[in-house]
Amino acid sequence: MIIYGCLVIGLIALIMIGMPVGFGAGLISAIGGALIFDGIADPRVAAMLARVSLDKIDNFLLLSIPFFLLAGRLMNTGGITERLFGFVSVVVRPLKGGVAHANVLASMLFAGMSGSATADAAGLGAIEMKAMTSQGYKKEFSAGVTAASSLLGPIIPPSIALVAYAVQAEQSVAQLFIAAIVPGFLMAAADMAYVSYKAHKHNFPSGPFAGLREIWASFRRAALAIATPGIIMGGIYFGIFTPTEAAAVAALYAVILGLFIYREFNLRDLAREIRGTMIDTGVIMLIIAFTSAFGDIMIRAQIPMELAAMLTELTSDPTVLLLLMVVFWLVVGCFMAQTPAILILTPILLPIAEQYEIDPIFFGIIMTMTLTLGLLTPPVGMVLYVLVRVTGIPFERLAVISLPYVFLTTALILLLVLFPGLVLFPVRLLF
Amino acid sequence: MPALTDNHLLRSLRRTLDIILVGGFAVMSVATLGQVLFRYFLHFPATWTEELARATFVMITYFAMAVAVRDKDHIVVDFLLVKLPPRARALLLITFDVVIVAFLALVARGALLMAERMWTAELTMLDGVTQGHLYLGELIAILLMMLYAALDIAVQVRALRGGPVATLPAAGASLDRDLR
Repeated sequence: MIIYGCLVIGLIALIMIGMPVGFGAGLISAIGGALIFDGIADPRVAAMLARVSLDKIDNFLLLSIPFFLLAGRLMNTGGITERLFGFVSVVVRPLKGGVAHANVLASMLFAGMSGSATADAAGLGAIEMKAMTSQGYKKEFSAGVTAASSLLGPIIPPSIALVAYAVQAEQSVAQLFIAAIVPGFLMAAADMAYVSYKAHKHNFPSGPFAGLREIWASFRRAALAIATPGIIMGGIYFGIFTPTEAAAVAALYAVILGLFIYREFNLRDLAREIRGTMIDTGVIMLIIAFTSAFGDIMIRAQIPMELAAMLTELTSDPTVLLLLMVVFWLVVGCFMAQTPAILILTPILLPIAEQYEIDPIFFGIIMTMTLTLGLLTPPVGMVLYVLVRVTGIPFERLAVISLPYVFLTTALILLLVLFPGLVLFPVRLLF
Repeated sequence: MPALTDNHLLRSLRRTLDIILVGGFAVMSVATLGQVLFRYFLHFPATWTEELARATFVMITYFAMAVAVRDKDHIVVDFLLVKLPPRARALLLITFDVVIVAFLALVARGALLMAERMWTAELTMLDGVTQGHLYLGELIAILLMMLYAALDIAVQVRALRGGPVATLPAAGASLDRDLR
């Protein structure tokens, strides 16, 4: 136990000093393998690393990751995000702070097509920032709303982070996607409530009602794009597609819209986006491949069970345990990106949660939501880095601007921990 | 140093990898979408489409990992690393690369062992394709990763000696150039 505990600490230390996460996990797995077998020269160690990494990637579900990534990229390249934002900003124009509300709503729709916060911040974020600042909103406020709304990407289905969790936890992606709908909508509602508060406090402008003719015209421009979430979730829920097939259909749909209908990109642009998508996929898969052996070794060494036994002495209450884990994930999220953290922590923490009879679907949603906050917290808040490029605001300032939204989402997570039914009732209703 | 990281052979390799990634993605997409097509429109569930999509995905993912290593496109927690003085940082990066090359050599050995062991274990639905072929693909990609990590060691050592810092081309650069 002590030796394997040292391996976990060693992995954390390697990651903290800047070793690439995937290779750090791989190295620790090799050392763990050497301890289990007869030293590093034992051919079984080398064979285990090669076999486990290939076995883990050889999973049809994982194909959904490049397809969803490509769909998100093409939505940005293909002018689809502009159409989405145009439509929602016309609808909410009469509200005080209408463009800020449109920012949240557009991200919500975008989240229903892609599964990534950074794709939202980099593509739609630039459009949202331009629209808000051109209407006189302060750059800082605009950046805060843009940062907060981008967090909807990994929560509202489809979600790449939830696919990663499903693979590691061997859970149903369809159930995870359904369970994420209410938390995603509550996050959006919380953001909009905060926008309303600021709008009334600072007397933000509202515009005239656009009129049904203009609303209809902007809806027609965006209708084909708005249909995407329905195609994905409807297809999965009604059993027409598997999640991977739905992702492929979403990517094909984005290709058809951008290449043939809106004609916003050509074949060369498409090839560039595919290449970028595959490199992003390679980065994620490198971690999946080499953390899988780490997870196997931890379980073989009974680390999660030993940790669970230690935690049982602290508390036997699953809610208290989950609250402790939320605090832990908040800290981890500050230092590690969401998907790698999910990949590394799931094999260790899920068996503990299962011993406390915490539903694995609920556990996955809370873990994903909490780790998502790390996208807005220094020192490794990836959305903040994207927004530095988009807004020109320094990283430290962006971190401060995002704080109210971090607190708001943390409060929402605590609410969900206390009322798991809010997450699980759609799953129980539909499955 | 530029000859080390930007010679004809490496440019050809770069172009080949780009073609593998884009072409492989196309095959994977056609197979996945073909599965839907066969099931709903031809009322004839195809048994080979999922296996073809999976096998293609495994292969191109390993090559995508090699490209990620080449472009140093890793997920890294670098907030401490960037605070180090340049010399200490270069030393640490060289150490990482050496450890990565050693680790990859171990995985390459395993991939070779598995390729030999599984050479005749055919995939269920794809005639002529064996598990051994997949492990061979893994082996080639791991060797490419080792090559790119070793090149990076050379670049970092040069930087450490105070010579001109030659960086590997940025991500996305090759496609703009090579597919034009």
